[in-house]
Amino acid sequence: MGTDAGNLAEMRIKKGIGVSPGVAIAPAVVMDTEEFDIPMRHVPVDHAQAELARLVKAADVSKREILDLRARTVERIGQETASIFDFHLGLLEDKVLHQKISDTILGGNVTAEYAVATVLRGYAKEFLGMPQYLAERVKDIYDIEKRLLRNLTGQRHESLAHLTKDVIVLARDLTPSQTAGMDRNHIRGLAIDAGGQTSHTAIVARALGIPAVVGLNDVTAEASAGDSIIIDGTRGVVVIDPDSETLANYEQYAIQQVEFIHSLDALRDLPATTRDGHEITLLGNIEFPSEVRTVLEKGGQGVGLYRTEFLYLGSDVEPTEEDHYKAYCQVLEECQGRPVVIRTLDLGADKYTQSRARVPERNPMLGCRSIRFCLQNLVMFKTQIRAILRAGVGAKVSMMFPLITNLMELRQAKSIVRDVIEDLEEEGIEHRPDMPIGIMVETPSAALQCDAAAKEVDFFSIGTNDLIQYTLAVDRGNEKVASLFSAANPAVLHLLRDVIRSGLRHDVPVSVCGEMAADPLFTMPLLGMGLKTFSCAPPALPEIKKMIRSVTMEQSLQVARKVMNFESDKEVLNFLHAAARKVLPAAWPD
Amino acid sequence: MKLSDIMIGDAIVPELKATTRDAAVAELVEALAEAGAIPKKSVEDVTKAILAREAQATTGIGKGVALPHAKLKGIKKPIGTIGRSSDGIDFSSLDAKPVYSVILLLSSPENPDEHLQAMETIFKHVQRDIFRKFLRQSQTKEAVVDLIHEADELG
Repeated sequence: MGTDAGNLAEMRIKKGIGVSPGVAIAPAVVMDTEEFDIPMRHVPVDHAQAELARLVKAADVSKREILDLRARTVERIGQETASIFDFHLGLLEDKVLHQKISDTILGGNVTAEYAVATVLRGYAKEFLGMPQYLAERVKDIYDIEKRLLRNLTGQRHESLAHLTKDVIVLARDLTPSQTAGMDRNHIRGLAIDAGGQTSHTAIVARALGIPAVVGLNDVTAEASAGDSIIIDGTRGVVVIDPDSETLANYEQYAIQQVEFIHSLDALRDLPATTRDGHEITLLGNIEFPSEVRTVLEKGGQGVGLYRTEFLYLGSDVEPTEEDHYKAYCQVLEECQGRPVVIRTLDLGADKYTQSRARVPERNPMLGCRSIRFCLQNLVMFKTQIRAILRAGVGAKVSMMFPLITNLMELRQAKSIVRDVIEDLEEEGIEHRPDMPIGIMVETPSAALQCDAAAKEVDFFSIGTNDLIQYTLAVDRGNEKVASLFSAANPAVLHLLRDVIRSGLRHDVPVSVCGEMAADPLFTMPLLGMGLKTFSCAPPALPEIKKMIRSVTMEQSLQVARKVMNFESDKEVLNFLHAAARKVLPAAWPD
Repeated sequence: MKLSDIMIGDAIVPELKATTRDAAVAELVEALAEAGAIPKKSVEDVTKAILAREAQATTGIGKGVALPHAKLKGIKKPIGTIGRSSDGIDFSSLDAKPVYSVILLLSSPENPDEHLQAMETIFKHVQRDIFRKFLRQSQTKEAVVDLIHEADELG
């Protein structure tokens, strides 16, 4: 508590969802919601032309800004994310929109600001009323409106692109242009009221390696600009106005973390082998082709999970076969002969599928998502499969279906693959007909039926995030129940063990590609259960490798056996903490 | 696409005489020809094409359902028929169980997307336990046709 003289404000600790790991300490910048209050003001009739000129100028400046932002995003994050700005450009260049704003200025002799706000808010309302995917675009329309108003009023708003000192950004939510335009050199961390694990902010923060906590509810109300803030993206904690003791602890923790992380660099080219010589395969999870480089830099031996959703989310139109093909070829090329697992579209419960649904689903997480969505949109599904089969020529590629809950779905999906192969054969297009096919085991039903499924697939990949969510019936984006979401829940561990064992029995390779694979706490129990392949986010690779290289299989077997006897996740976690700390004290400072 | 857009009512076989996979396919193709959906002289070729596809990988997707199909020149839009077998037929199904409902589909090689849409429709219905159950219970051509229309209405 703030007992020391130098710190009058009381320390507050907020719990959210850690979406990008790491610790950051810096003063806060609070991005307000940026509500422009534009009063209706009339201008003299002969000034209307001048207002029109201001509008044209502001639009030009805005366009240049967006082009610049897009170029930088392409460079730093990748083409797919950058394409979100195409809609902005399209709207700015839209003749109808310009005409409407001009008409409003000339018709009512009002200021350009008022005209912009009126017309764009009208647009937003129209979009909101649309049942299709366009409703999602409202955010972008507000984004454009703010940009135009900013340029009209000449206000230099706190932009995230031009910072001069280190800050932690606090915001209700970030617009796509704010996130993509973030200045990596000065933004040390993000604390966001809204959002969940898969929000846009979370994905970009992870891609840029900025520690981030989301789902904080009211952090922007609790903290003010300049407040000292600690972000612990690993544990999902934000500390506002920390007392000197907490600050000192975290500073030390941050330093230790940095030292520890640097010490891991030396491991890059060493194999992921246990102390007693068991070889383990370490792969990386990626969203964008450009991330392959990071995987390899961090010592990954290939890509264990290539999520293809960004191909769909980046733009308004469904990606073409060539869009898919190009992205896949780029990944394969960068991987230089290393294995790659491409997961077919795993959208659902989100913008893309919801916007295409005639009626919004009442319970989208249990709705028409992922493979279900694909099996009901076969033409779209086929396009992706064609591209995967074509890209697979001469490469070590496998195809993986997400969210399989029963064997019929797997068989249907496989029969579609067969159909596509026939089409390609008939058309004389080069493809790989014998591509290995696997499934994500991420529902309790798939886990319980894995013996049957093992006979019909070439590999299993356990997606722990969804497996936990569906096994424990917890939405971890909901802060009221998020604490129930635990990989250490004995029910989850039992399912995991059964799937891994089933794979061993049937000689079907098993990997874990969920976040659990990236948590060094679970490395030992997973090894002990018999897991041979870990696939995790690239930043976690060195630490997992370090963990693997620090243990023996004998130790891991013991941990795995023991961990099965506990009845609560707390006991499991305490035991795993103690076991891991014994092996690798540097990773778990007190 | 609706199930009733694809299925040729007159070609539905409420009780297959065939006891083997090959004979069942031949019987259904024959029924399509009888109903005038395909030319009589093409029966042999069509049967051959379907069996050739079946030889590559079984279309017996389990739960008593098989979906033999082929893409053939001369077929303009997806057409299909349904055959029922009370005793069950060995289709080398993935679950190694006999097939009680054979849903046969022919489509045009020129329009693979249409073929997929037809498959999508069929998949959607056979996924449902209730549809498979009712299909197994439908003992007349009319009952099968009614079921198809009811399924379409439910969407």
